[in-house]
Amino acid sequence: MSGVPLLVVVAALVWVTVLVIVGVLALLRGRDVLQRLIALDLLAVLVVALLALLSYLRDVPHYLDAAVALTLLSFVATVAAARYLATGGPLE
Amino acid sequence: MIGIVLRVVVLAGLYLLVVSSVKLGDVAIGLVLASLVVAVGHRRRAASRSDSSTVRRLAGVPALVGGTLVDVVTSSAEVIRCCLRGPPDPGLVRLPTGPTSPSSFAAWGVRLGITPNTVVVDLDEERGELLVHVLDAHDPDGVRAEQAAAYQSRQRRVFP
Amino acid sequence: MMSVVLDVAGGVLLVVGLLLLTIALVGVLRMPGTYSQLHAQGLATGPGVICVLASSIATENAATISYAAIGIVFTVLTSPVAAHAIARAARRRGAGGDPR
Repeated sequence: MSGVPLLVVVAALVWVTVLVIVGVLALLRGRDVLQRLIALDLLAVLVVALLALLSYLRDVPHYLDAAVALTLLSFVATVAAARYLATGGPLE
Repeated sequence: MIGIVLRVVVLAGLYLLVVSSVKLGDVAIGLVLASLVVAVGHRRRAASRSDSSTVRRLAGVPALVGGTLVDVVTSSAEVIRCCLRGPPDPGLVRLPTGPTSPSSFAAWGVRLGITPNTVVVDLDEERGELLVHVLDAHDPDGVRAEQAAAYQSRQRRVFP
Repeated sequence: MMSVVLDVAGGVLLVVGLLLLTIALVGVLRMPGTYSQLHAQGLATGPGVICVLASSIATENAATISYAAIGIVFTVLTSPVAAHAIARAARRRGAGGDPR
């Protein structure tokens, strides 16, 4: 593989995996439902970074497709949940 | 006219990025799809701007993008400092934008939202006012002056 | 020569992006209020993930770089809107206090 040395990418993958675990702890520890929503959004970003690193490691561009889809899905999910929490119900 | 061509080219470019190929057939399909979308959107729009004003607005785009990048870097440094030491004095600040168009409001929102040290909380289109949360709100007038200066130097030429 | 420059740039961007993600996570864990956590989260969803995606220039693979470019475009367009939606929900639920 050309590009960043293999060791750096593997170390980055391990580090982002650790960050995902800490992010799950932040999700469980949130005091408020909105703080949990923030942690969930952050978790989606961490998984996008994980997919990007995996695509660099294996040289498969299509993992980044999944990353883009995850970005858009997490955006829709966050906006829908925030609207639901702001109005108090889906039918209002 | 330049604006219409520009929209078609940008949309076709996005299509080519998605399919990630530059074969002749893909380019043709992208151009056809982009012109269809622009034609449908153009019929809904009331008045289009003249060519000279479009060129003048395009000339301000590098300053807008570059200035926003500088803002992102400086405000990231500020937020990093606050993350590691704790926020000094977080609070909500009213930010007057003056009487502006919807596209200008959108530009204000994206510009303030992509810089991490400001979060747009609410907006009041009738009074031309944004409610912004900042981490260091002990000097609200300073925050307002700083954002007005950023608007003057970066955004005013493109989205007045 | 060009390839070495791209490799170094990609590596630096990767390290900067990972640092930003780490600091953002620390900020979300440490900040007291919902709005303050949003600032820390904006650090990750904006500059952090953009740096990680931009490090794709080191792979010198046209398909990878173009997908990463789409990812950057969508991130720039969506992350301010998501942060604003959460902030407005927090305001409606009565967080914050009087504006200055």
